[in-house]
Amino acid sequence: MRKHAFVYMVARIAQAVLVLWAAYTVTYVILNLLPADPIALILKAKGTDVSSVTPAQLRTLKQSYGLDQGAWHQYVTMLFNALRGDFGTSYTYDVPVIKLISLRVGSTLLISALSIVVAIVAAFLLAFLAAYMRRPFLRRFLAALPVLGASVPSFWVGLLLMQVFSFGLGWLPSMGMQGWKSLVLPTITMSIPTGALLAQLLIGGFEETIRSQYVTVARAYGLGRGRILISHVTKNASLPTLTILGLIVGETVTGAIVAETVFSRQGLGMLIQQSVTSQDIPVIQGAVVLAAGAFVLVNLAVDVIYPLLDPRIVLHSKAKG
Amino acid sequence: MSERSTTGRGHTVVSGESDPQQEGDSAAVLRIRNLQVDYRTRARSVHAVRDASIDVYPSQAMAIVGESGSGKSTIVHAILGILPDSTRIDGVIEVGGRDMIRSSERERREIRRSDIGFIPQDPQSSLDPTMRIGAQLGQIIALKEGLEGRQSIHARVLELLHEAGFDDPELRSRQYPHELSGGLKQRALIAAAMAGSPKIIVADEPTSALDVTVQKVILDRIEELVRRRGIALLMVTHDLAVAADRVQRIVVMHHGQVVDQGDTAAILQHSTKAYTRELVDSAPAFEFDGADRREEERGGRVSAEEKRPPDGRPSHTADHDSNAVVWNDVTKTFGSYTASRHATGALTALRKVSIAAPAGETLAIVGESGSGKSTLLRIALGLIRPSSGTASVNGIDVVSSNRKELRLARRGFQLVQQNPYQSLDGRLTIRDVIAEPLKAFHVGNRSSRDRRVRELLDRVALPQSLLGARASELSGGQCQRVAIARALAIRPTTVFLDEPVSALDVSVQAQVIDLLIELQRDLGLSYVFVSHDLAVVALIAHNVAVLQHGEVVESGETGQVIYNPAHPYTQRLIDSIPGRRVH
Repeated sequence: MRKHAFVYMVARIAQAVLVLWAAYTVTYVILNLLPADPIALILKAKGTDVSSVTPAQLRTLKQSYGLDQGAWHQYVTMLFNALRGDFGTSYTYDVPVIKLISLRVGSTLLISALSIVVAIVAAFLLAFLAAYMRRPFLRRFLAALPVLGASVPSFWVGLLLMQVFSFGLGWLPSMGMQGWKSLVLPTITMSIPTGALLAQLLIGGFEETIRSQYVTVARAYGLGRGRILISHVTKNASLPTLTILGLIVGETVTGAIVAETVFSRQGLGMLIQQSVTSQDIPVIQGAVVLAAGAFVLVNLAVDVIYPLLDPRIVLHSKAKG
Repeated sequence: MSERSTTGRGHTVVSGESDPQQEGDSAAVLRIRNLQVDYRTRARSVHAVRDASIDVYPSQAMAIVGESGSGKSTIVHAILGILPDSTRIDGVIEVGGRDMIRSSERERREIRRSDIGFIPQDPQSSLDPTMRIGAQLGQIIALKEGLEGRQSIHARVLELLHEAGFDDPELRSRQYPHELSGGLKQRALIAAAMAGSPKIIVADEPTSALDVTVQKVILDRIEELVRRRGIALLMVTHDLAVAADRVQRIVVMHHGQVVDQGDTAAILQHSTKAYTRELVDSAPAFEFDGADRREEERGGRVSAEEKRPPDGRPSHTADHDSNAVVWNDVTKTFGSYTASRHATGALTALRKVSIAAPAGETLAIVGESGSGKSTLLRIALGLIRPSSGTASVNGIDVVSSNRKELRLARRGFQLVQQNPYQSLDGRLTIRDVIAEPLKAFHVGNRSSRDRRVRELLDRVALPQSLLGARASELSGGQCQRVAIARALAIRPTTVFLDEPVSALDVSVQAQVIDLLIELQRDLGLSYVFVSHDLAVVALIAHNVAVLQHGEVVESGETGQVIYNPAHPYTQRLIDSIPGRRVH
């Protein structure tokens, strides 16, 4: 058993490294296919035009940013630097990417974590209520809510919330990062798409589990409705949704970009959005690796936790030699 | 057998003399009057139960017997008050004098807790897969016995598990359902049903998902516990033989109605109701002891018997032509890559199995789940290769054949599977289903194929009107006839039958068996008949091979093996056949 688990973990970590490398490489290729001259971008950020720079200055600049080498050589150097934790220097801010990201990541992590918690709590509440309701139309109404949540675009939700709670009622700030009040609207905006996705899966899972034989048997023993939902249905119905936790983390990165742009928060999402617009390749590269890392880590955590929650699952390394 | 029936069921006689109906309705533990249950869907309503009246008295054992769709399970759900919300229910159900229909959900729950013990049908899916046995049982004990404190609940869990027949309650209480066999799971469910002080145990097909030997043990255990504690038992079953062994009164249901009801002996021996007679006549288990007589009735069979050498054993090795299927020294081990690396945990499904199926006759391979009978079948079909040994069908080696040779060989042998609903494509019409093998082997043209399909429908006694129907519109028995017709389409000489009747109702079972016997006689087919049911085997097989843990423990002529078993395991299988206490 122990040995199997060890082999499994080694294989999974190797897989994680592979995914990270692939994410890095694919982004590199795509970004370098873009029709843009990095030097021009760098100079533009500093307020000068390429045409006003002498060829000698241009050469020096290229050298200092490592752009005088061939594409392949550049890739290898950048990859090795990345391995040492150096993702280069931002073209626009002229600050090391790592420093830039670490300055911005805090506030984004906060609203992301908050939104995931809100999404999970809301989804469970909805699924539980939908399962507990005995009136068919109430049940159908609750089950329809996630579909609505999944189909409204989140930037629109953000703007709507802002219109009502900031400009209309004046309860919450429409922008900025001061105090807990500024967290509320971005968190809600971000939690709607993930919460809706989760709730759809959970409601389906609850319905399926309620129809299962062991729930009927539990009813026949005289267990109460709420008791059955808590001790038998919730766990069995929510186990499969664990596997989409990785997906939700991915969704949250997208959500952060939208929410931070709408609510003008200086977070990672905003940074990504700005970097893409200004083609700040090193920053995008760093952000992608970070997001991929989070994704891989969450999936790994889910895979390790799953067997602890579901006794039927045993860790097995895939057949490789 | 008769000895056991008198000692084991002494009080049967008593209840037979005094009509319980006269004891007064108030004494009944369960009183059902004019019960009417309708399932309503948007389009129409289905009458699941019509005007049923049943009484069960303290410490009485009663069975509701009926085929699928007879409404027997609906009655169980109605008694427990757990029918879906969309059902309409009318009449009276009283458990321990308390109304189950007009009570509130809260009151019904209270009745379920205090008065009813429930044993469900399928142990595999009746336990929460993510909760330990002890925890699940503890929950019910806390509920039904009002015990508090982990220590006292745990002690009671162990006590109940022990009562239900667990050898090591401490260990089992810590295990999860998937770590237990079907029989052990059913015991855990019995333990749960026994918690508290139920007045009546309601058992819904408690053993239909289990092997025969396990079935016997489980039924023995239920019977013993119920008798010892003086609890009434209401068992629902499709198997008249099981009911006959275990209960004093039988209620026969058909199409939602109670068609017959009375003491067991009366129902079995001199019921005046046509449907009851039909059920009794078609139950293979009851014919078991009379199988010799039946063989004589079937003329063709005796002549086949006479051709055999005097020692009763067909000459397996003499010449190859006389055997349709031969397994020679077949061993099959399954092991995952990790298991083989550690050299442990490799599972031996078959160990040096050598048997032969004589041409034109029926070889039955009998065994319980896990005995390796399916593996043996799949090797002969060329679906998997044995680890060592050879197998040949119609003289063609299926182990060393390549894909092309195997495909050619398959014109000579076909398979009929267990579950007719799953083995037929529901989207195809019956015409296309039967014609499929003809198309696959490019036999004939459109019109000749169509002729052949019609001919085959006649052969299996299905009306031509079904040609355009789809499998989903057919009954189980009709589906199995279609499956047989399809298997016969390309005129094979050997047919493999994998539990062909075990998914069918008893009356249908008998018809399909008769059809198979008739087809064999007319077409000279060789059958390999895989089954867990010795009673069915006794009806159809010329030869029997008994498999246990991947080894042939006994083989020979049917009469020899079944009426004179040499191996203790065969003896145990025979003793486990229900319906034997009646004789």
